[in-house]
Amino acid sequence: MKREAVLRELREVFGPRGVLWEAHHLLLYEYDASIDKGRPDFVVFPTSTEQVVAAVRIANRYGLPIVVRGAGTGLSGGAVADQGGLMIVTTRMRRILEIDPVNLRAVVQPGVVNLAVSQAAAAYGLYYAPDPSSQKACTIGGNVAENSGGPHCLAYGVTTHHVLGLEVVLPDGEVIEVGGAALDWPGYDLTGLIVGSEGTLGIVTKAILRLLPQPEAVVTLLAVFDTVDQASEAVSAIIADGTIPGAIEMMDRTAIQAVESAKRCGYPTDAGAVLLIDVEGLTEGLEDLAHHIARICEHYDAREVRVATDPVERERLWSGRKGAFGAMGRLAPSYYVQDGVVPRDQLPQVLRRIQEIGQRYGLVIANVFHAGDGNLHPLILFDERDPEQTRRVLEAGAEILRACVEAGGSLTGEHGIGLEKRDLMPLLFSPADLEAMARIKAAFNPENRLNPCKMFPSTKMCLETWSRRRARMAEPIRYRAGSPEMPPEEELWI
Amino acid sequence: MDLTERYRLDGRSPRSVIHPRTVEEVAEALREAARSGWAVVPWGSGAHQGYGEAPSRYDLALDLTGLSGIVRHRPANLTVRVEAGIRLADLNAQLAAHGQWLPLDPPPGDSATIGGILATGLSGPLRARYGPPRDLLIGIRVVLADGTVVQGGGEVVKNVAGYDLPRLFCGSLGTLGVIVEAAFKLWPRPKTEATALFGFARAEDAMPLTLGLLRHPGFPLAVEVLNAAAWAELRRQVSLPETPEARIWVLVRAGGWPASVERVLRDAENLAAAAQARERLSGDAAALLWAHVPRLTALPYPPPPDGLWVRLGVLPAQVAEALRTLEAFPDVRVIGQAQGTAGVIYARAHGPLEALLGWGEALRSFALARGGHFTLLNGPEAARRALGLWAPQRPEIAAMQRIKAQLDPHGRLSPGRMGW
Repeated sequence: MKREAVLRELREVFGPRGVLWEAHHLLLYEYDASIDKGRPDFVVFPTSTEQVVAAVRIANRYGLPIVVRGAGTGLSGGAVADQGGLMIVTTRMRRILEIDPVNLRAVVQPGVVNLAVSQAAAAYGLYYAPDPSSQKACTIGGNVAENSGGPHCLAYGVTTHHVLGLEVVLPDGEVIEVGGAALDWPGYDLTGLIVGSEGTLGIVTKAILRLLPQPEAVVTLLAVFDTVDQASEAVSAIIADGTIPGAIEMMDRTAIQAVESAKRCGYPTDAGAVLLIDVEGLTEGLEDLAHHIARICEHYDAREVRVATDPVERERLWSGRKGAFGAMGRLAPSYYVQDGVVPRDQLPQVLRRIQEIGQRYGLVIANVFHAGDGNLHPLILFDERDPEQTRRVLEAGAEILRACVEAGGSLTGEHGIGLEKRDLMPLLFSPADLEAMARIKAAFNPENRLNPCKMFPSTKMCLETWSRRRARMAEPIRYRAGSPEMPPEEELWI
Repeated sequence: MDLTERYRLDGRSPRSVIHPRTVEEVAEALREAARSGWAVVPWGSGAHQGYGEAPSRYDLALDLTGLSGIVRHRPANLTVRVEAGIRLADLNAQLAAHGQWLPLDPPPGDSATIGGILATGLSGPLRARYGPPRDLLIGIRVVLADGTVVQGGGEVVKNVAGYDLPRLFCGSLGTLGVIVEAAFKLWPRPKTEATALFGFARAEDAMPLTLGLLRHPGFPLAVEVLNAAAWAELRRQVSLPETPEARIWVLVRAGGWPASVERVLRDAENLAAAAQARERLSGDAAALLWAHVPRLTALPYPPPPDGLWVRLGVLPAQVAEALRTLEAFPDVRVIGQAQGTAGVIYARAHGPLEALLGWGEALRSFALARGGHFTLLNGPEAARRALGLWAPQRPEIAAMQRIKAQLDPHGRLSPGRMGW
């Protein structure tokens, strides 16, 4: 009855084509790119801020939790409606409202795809710097929520360094502006607080972004090492030498072999590790700088350093890195990617520990990651149809994150906490830290209606979902037949 | 002498002053203050104390200069964790031995403490390349009003775990918590540096240079625009040419590998076609210049009765118009400097109160009409009453107040500083 009332109201605002409520439609919105799932009760597709406000007000009237979703490429379950409720999908808010080529600003709606900003700015010799690997699909709204990174964040910073202002719908339906096109806005830095808040403080309906001038020239180096330790030491030496390249990416032997068996990129398959380094900026002195970095690599026993200036050759060297996650399919049916961060000088030790963890759990782990900023992406290979193996994968993943935190690092560099890592937060934060964050959340989202049960350790209210996740992990996921345990009329969100 | 005299704010002395030496002592002081219901104002060097409204209650001055250590410097990781009372100059002297620096140059100069720089969040010329303080801050430790010690962020350069507390505390003027430690991402010092100075007859003539450098892939370290009075002030400290026909000066600081430094300055020269005067500086002369530039509009405390200090934020393309507006009032003498590529303008004016109020009002209207912002950094009480602390005052302020109420429910940390 309540369900029908909600549906009627949603359809009044969004029309028949703007609302999904039938099980076979909702199925498509029950997951993101992480391992968690949860089915919303309704999905709406607003085209304007006003429609977002209307959706929020309806959700409030009926006590529905709200989850916002962009392209669903998130890796920590941030856009999974694990408590059911109303899902607001931003993909129809995909207009680039303004490119200001003089002041280097872009104003966009949240559903704009990351790469589309750079494409629109390219005509002016500009681009949007944060470049998550999913940039052809992921949206700016999702990037803002997760404070996304990418390979080139080493030199240019992550999303928060490039977001100047936001329009935000608060959980009570009020619309506020924070920050703006001018810099150093006075008052508390609400823009900085909302970026990376994983959809728990407000719904972003507009973002003012900073653009950068495209580099004049880029040189790509591929440095081949016999061991991961040598490559890690080279990374620290390059940074310590006083030059910060545009990107320094590392792939270990397992990753190299996967990539080479998927497509030939010219990485030597017997290498222990390769570094991909982008040196970019002005033409002047760039090749000298590239050769300087090549010499540092050689000093740390690189057995070969290739230097590519030609765009086609550069693209070929990068194609292996860009296709690395996909290439894992050559080695196993599934992979579970982690996102720990360690201080750069701890890389060799932590990478050894990751291998040791893999061996202990009987799992193969490939490493493809942003070495320059110490942001690891161990890919644990497995077959998710095997529940016992899946359980080991999750345990190994948590142990890897523990190793990162113990080395002075963090649980996540760019994927967010979401559902996936919320119960690991106490590894990093004391109860007092978490309490302070909870109070900040209460200043925006006092009824916990917006993206409930994300980012913070599960409370009593969330426990049920958690146990459901555990239960799910004990059974095959992807090939599970039929509809899940919950009958559609069961109103979990009440 | 009564020690509390040194900690006077707006004519009021605190009842007590505490000099904690450890984070635990800060926490104990705040717990004690909580028990007594005392209002607390944190102090660093005092350089920024004129910024913000005077505290509405003031019982305890918490002097953090005793917390002045480097907790951990990881040179290979380009990160450092420091205690809040360390002076920027002392920190950078230590980092220099490793060829690294924390590239901040806020208005009070490098005698300011890290805690003060973060609490105010003010930026200097180097922000053109390195961003404002919050862009370099990766972790923070604060003591809340009830004495609870909390931390956010960490000591790695990339980290999205939990809310971005470092950013929230940056610029919060001591109203949310007492900053006791901060972790920063560092930068290697540029291999070489050079500075070029260009004098223009009019602000408009300088815009092709500043806007050209905004979109220059060589990323100059600083692009600072000075009005004639600021230039004259600078000439008192540093040996510089006198060119009466130049009314606006652009100071371009380039750093990096020699070939790229040369290229940036060469391009700057081409962009500065309309310049009436040009000059190059390097070595000690340039270092002396850049040590003085941020201080041109430094905030004195206590503020003299005939002065007004403001900050405007506009788009880079609006800088020329902003500089013209600064100088449109004949009865006030204005020293103005603009971060040319950022559009952030610091200015101070001296003159009769009525003229100062008119000047401030004109700048406030200008910034608002252009979609920018206005902040009164320092000035007499009458000016604060007339102009308010900052504009625009948007509905987001209610959210700020809710954060304040959550973290400091009894309003005991720097109460009234933000105007509430």
